[in-house]
Amino acid sequence: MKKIKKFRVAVRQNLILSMLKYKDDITEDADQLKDHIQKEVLKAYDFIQPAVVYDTFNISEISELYSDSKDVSALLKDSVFVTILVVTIGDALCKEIDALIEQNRVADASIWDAIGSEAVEQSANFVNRLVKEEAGSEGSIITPRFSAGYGDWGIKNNKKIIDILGAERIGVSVNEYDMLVPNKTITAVIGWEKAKKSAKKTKNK
Amino acid sequence: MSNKFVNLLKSKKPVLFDGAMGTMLIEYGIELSNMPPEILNVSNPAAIKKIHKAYIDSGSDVITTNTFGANRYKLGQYGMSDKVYELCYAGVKIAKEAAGKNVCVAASIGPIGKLLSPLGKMDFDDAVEIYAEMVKAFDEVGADLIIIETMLDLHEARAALFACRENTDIPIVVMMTFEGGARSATGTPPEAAAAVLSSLGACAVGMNCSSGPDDMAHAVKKMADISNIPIIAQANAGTPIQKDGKTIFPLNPEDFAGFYKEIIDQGASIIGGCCGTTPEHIRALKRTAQKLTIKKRNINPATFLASRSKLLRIDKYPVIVGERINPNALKMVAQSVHDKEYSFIIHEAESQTDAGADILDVNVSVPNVDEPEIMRELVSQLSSIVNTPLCIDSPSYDALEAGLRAFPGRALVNSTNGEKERYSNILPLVKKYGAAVICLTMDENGIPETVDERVRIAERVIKECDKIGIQRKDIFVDTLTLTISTEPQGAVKAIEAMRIIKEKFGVRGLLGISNISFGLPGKEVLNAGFLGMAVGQGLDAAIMNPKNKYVRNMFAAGALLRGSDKAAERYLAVVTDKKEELNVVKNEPLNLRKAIIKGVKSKIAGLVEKELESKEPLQIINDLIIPALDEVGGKYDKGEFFLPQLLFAAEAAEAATKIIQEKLISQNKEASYKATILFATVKGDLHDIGKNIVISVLKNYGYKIIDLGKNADSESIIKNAEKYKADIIALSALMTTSMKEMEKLIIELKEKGLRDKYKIIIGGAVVNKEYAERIQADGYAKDPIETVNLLKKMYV
Repeated sequence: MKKIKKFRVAVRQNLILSMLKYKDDITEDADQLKDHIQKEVLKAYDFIQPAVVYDTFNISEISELYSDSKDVSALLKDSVFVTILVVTIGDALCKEIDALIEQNRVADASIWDAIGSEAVEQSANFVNRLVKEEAGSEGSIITPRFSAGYGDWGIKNNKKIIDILGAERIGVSVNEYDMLVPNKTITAVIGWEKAKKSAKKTKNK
Repeated sequence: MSNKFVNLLKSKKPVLFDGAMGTMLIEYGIELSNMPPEILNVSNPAAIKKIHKAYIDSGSDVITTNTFGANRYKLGQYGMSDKVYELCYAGVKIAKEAAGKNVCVAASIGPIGKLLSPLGKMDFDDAVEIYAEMVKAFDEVGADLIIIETMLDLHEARAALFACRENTDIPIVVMMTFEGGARSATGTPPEAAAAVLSSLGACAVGMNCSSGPDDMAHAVKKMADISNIPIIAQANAGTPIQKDGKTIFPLNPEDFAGFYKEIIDQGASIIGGCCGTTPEHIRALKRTAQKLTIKKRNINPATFLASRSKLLRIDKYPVIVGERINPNALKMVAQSVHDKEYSFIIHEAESQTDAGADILDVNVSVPNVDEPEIMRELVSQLSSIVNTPLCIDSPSYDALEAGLRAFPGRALVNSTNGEKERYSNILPLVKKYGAAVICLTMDENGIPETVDERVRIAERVIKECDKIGIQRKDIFVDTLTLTISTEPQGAVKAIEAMRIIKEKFGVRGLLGISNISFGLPGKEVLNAGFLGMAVGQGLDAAIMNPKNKYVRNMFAAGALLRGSDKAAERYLAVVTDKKEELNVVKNEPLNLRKAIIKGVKSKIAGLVEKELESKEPLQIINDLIIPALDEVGGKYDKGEFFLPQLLFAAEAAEAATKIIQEKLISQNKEASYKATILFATVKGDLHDIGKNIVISVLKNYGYKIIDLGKNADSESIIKNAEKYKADIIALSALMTTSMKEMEKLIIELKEKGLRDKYKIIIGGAVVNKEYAERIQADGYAKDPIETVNLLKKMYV
């Protein structure tokens, strides 16, 4: 079981802009707004508290978790191991969004919401890279990440994942509707498949 | 002056710095329980010396002192603010002992740890003072150079650089940190940083920290392309990752050094390591560097000005200096300066930039005001709002200095002339602040009549610039435009003098355009004609009103015709510009409609009060606020505005509506609503940002809004709909698991015989029009503007 806290997350401003429906042909005041968003990103960094807990299991140990999902079963059909993860950016940023709405600053709240979404996505990407590296060192490649709540894999699995990993340690829980709290949190599975020889990359070092 | 480091820079091989200090402290197991690392300079100097020795043994030409955070503010967090001098002095002393004769000692200065105004609260001069304390110690103990490193903010880097230049002659190297090699955290691209910092007298500029060496080559190239001084690159050993609770820097020494071939190829001549690097990394870097020779760089002939976030390159294509922030041009500017209320000026700055100004002239010379203070305040505000470089314009030396000091970029100074008293005061300021300068061809005797005399005055000032070290390409000679109504040969003489001076001295040519037509009808025609002539003869910069489309088009046409606009790219951009209304709209001071469209909430109260003097409250809502919002909505719909623009406009409109509603109440009138809408995010769903966005727009359209928030069950929705006599129930859901609550509510309403009493509209990421039809809702909208339009159809 691995728990990492306080790692650094760099958010991609172009993705935040795209979440805010920015397109290249927007010219009027776009630079000023981009500057504003950039300043909000700088402020928001203080409220991003990334943490992750993840572990890797033999597939047979964990098959019950996704037995009712055709989508996950198909994803993991060639997997030997499965990494399960819970990653969050904590609740400080979510509270700040609530405070902005309370102050009727919906524009800034929408910007912060986009920053939060990108930050948690980047936090999950960070874990993805670690898992990829670990799998690679053991001659495996990884499947795409798959989260509860997507396809036919219901959000009730959030609670199961949290329980397996003891994710309360990083402040994550679910509410009575199985929704993740804090809401900028991701749960996911990643399969490990044996790398085929032909697909194996070699590095010249 | 002979300096060990300056001599080292003459080598054809890259100069090698050391690697990380913090990484080595951890490596050596040195504990720092709640103490700053710099305390080791006095508590455990042997450990620091050991690290320096390890780097010297690995081949470093320069070692860096353990003084990065030894500033008053950071040390103050440990109750040690009085130890700045002691720790800085000791840090250099230890390094000197380790370095001996052949290795240079770089005294390190890192960020203070607080953002400078206007981004944060620290005053620029306070920052200079904090850094000066460190610099005085470095100067006294005799460091070979100072490195200002890991700077996130260009303005702070300037403050540190000023502190050095005002307190020592030691060479200064400045390094900023660029996220992914693209921009600093406060928005400065590498090329703008290079332009500003090299003009301020740094002996080398570059970058350190941030990410790994793979991102640095591109940033090095951008700096090397525009700067003539050495470029330094000190990367981390890759982007850090966390493993087993530890921070790991993934690049091993060989891989790390491998990236530096490209970095040196792109123009770096000083290299080293930052976080995560060790003597082994430096040893590997030495092996790489030994095989490479520093790349020869060409001197870039262009003039570079810069704002905090943008570099302006002045080369073959001429530039426009916006002339309108000047009390002589606009009475409203004089009024703004008097009142110290800058919204008009800021609006004017934005509209000139929108219209195509490359540089903005800022003149606040109004009698009986504190001009230096106003210049300082205004330049600081403008620099965080517009991204064009500024031209600081004043007859007062103090006001010029205040503006130059406050501007976090490379400015143009307006102006010096051939009077000895004037150039003796202005040129040292230009040099000190690394600016470019406008030189007027006039002197104690006024504006000479002849071309020859104008050339002689220019020559006199240019020679003074040469003496002080201001480059020719940074001198803009203004040969002075006299009005054609009094001086029939005025245009010809000014242009002829400019042409000769440019050719003879290799400086830039600049002219004010608007004077030519003074006192004559058809100003636009004359201004445009004169501009066309001047551009054709090589004009580099025109001081003009960029908002006049006719004159602006002539500017572009002139540039195309003289061959400065290959492929007619800029000409086409200007003449097909859709901003035809610029002259009409942008010349207006900020009114309520514009303030809403631009989302300027802070100005709404005053503007509403002004409208209330002549209009009825409801008339303001119907004739100004709603049409402004409709305009914004239309732009959003067409993709010309993005979400924050829509929401800032909605917030501004709401601020206006609120004042008007208060006014109605004070008149014992009540606002009438088109309908009451009950909003709710359904049970099981905690996402309500989308719903809040819709509400913020809708509440300005004359609907009464009741918001039940998130996770609202059908019982509570029905109960409140009854209580508030809602006409519409608007439901939001973002999850497939919660969307079924929408259908459940409709079934319950039917069962209770209440379905026909309410219109139901739905929205949210997981629902669509088909789903709305299937559950028999009355409508679906995908975003705020679709909601407005949907409701308009229901309540005309």
